[in-house]
Amino acid sequence: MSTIELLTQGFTTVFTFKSLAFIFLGVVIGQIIGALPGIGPSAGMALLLPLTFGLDPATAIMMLAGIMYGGQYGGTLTSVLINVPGEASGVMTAVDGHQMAKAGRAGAALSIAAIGSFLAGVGAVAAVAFITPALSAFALRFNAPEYFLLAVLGITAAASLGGSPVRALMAATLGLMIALVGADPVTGAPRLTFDQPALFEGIDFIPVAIGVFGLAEVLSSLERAHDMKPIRTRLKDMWLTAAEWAESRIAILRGGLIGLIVGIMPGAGASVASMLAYVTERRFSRRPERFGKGAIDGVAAAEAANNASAHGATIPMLALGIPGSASTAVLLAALVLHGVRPGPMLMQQEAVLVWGLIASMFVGNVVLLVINLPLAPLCASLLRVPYVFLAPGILVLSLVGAYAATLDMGTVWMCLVFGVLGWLMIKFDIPRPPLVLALVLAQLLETSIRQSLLLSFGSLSIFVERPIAAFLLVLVAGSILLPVIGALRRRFGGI
Amino acid sequence: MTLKAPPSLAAFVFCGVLALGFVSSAVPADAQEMRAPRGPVEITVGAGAGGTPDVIMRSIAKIMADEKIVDVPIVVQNRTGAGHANAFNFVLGKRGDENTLLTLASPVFTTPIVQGTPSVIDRITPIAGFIQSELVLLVPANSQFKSLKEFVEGAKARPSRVRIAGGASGGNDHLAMALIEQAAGIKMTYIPHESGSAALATFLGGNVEGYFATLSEGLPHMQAGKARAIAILSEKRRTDEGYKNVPTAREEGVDVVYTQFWGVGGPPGMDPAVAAWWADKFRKATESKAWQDSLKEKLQLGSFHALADADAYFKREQDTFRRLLTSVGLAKPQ
Amino acid sequence: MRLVEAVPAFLLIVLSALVLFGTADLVYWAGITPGPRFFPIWIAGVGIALSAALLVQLRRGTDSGTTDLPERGAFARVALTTAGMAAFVLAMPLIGVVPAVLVFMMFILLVVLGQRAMPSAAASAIVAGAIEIVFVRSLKIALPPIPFL
Repeated sequence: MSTIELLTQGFTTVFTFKSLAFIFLGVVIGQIIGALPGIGPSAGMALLLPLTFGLDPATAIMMLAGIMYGGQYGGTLTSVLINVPGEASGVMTAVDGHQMAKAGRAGAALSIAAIGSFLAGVGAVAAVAFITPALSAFALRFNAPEYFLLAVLGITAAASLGGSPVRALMAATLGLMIALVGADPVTGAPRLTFDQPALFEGIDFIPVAIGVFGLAEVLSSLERAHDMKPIRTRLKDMWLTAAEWAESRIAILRGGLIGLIVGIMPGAGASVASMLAYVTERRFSRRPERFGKGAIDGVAAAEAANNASAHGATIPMLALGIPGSASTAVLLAALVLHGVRPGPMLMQQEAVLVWGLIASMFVGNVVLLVINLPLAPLCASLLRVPYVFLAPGILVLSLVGAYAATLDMGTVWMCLVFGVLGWLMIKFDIPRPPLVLALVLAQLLETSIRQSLLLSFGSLSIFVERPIAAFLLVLVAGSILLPVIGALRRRFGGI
Repeated sequence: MTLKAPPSLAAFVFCGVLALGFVSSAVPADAQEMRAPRGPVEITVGAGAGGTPDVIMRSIAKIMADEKIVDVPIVVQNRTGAGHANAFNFVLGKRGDENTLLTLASPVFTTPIVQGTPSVIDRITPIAGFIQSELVLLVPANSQFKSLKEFVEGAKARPSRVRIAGGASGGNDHLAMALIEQAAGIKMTYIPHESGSAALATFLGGNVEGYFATLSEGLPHMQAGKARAIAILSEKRRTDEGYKNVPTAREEGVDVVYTQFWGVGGPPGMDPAVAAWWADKFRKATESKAWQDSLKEKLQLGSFHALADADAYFKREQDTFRRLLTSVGLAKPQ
Repeated sequence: MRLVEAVPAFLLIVLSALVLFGTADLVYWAGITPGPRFFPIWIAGVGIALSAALLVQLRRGTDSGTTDLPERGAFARVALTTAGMAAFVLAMPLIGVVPAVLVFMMFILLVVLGQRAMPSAAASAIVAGAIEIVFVRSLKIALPPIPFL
């Protein structure tokens, strides 16, 4: 059967009242869970897994997948409105999205996020439908050497995320130091744990992001409690302007492509995707100085990337039985619990289920766009509540969210400590995004270079012999050398 | 997991296990006073949603509810992080509690050994060990090694040049490799990954020579023509289609038997009557058709050990873990 | 250069030293690959180098950062809020999440921000209610309950 026939068959599975109802339920739950700090889509899917036991496997998977990508839309809300990333991949959205909100453009930020997520999501699902076998073969050519160079590419970009490169790199170094804590990823030896069992698995990303962004932001705002006014939001500012749309179109395309490619790699997830998309966009931008101060193309790229990545992660899951993300791992577990054995034979043996899922992702993305466009101005109006009343509410939501993520008080304390650290960083003008960027990339960086050298028995030639690695190596060299050459020319150009 | 030991001792232990298992399941209700816990029960899992221990507990909790074996509500709660320490410390802190159970997976045994902290197994109330999963050594379909014998010879000829991709250091696949190294007198290179599926991607990408899979994980890749199984680390061959032609490691001259297992325990000082009640419920659930079917479907084993027998079983496994972790240099003295 | 502006540089130097000191018992190189101490040494080295660079820039006046320390009243509010959060975290397992939220919200609104009683009480009730409905009732997350209830 051709892909079109299979897809048509998938749509007939989806267009029944029951399927549509559960897809709708899934995406709405995903939207809500994504917006809560701490609980990401994968934890949300696990929480609702028992509810799907009464359903047939296809409907259950459609609903759970709805939570997965619905979470990507929902994460935007808290990132933009209160600078608390709802899930890990929302960090880059928060950077510019919240600056836009402060300038009264929350509605525009939320709209472009919804549109960007939708376009990238639909594009990614089309890729899942038509070129999954080719993409999964491509995904397998990505391994430790490629991951290492990808991580280097991300880290070198950190220098550009802030006013002063020295200050930005100091923040990145701090992020790398935080990532050093915990069992060594290769030998398993405890490192910098100071004999605290709680530190053995390292410091999780969630409490750091909630603390450094959400809590720190509120602490900094509370300093000026006497003149805290609600953020100016006029109705006519709620919508996207034509100029903003023009700025974002290419960003969505680039972000979506990067998200899809990173998403299909089993070793890197949506947070890496959104960060790479963001720094790429900044590099291509004609006015990179606006990034970090409310650049709408930054929001568009990050959101397009994280949604494309969430969908892309289903490619290795469907084609190989390898989860590309934490959420797809739960989807795989759900398949197993429903008596379906995942693996490379899945697409042949369970064609109805697989094509129903693919069709449902098209439908679900449409539903999410329809929900989110009117929701954007509505949610933006939330900022009309006087900030004095929002502030303690944000603190409570952040701390309770951190607890809900692990059900462990240690996580909440961690969150508090990083809140104070984030506040100090604001006061001393050390940019915060490089810290979380480095924290996300650190493990990839360290694990993959050591895996690479184990694979090559210690020979560095592994980074040039593999075609994709060699290509990435050129990119890395360019990204380091170009700014240096530029700086030298500026300094000595006149002579 | 059964230990690699001189055959006579292994046989003795194995028979002992069978005998004890027989006794505990043959003497039901009346031998031990039983009392049901009141109110909702939480089964704590140290693994994330979707991990094998999580799937096992959700499956059995579903059967207990569906077949009305247990009428109090059961919630499977993931308390992830710190190598299952968040989960086991939570349960250890609930001395005498009747509404909390701990999922026993290998990190519950190994984390204290690696960190040099007091054993968890020695402190919990053992309830049941009820499911095991055998491991199979996969090589790429185009591998030059057609059998474990050739694999071992290849590793002998080029020490440390045969690479195995696996999960975290000190995990089941790492320890299985260490056992093979010891038994065959060879040295291989272990490449650890953040998860088993990341390691599978490395294996399928053709980057390494070998990968340890559970039977149900390996089968689809064998059927798709991407991988070949050269040895199963079990006592005897499987009879299932797909695995019946795969020899055991022992047949190939490598004396290794290694099986993953999972179980459940209660907090320290749990009322023996409640523990006995739970052991009985787990036995009933594992005897259900749904459970037996799922074992068959997932190619897992269902050897059942309860209470005192489970205690001996867990302690024995703990000793094996300690010995293996010491041999790979990961155990930290207390 | 004001001494206080150099605080980040000094802190990063201290942290770098801590990393070097804390990993002293690990190996730098293990056979054919970097060992567990490889990255710590390089990161600590980079940390010290960057701190030195910042100090030089501050000295020359070429640094573009702006250190913005709060005045006394503002600092007091931040300190009180942080202490309030710590107390909230301590209280959560003891008195349950909903009462802890109510007390914390009232403390911040009345004591730290000097708001009027009625709107504060309303805001606290709304937030506590939302936490209960979303986290506990809908998602069934095991937040600390009110004891003896």
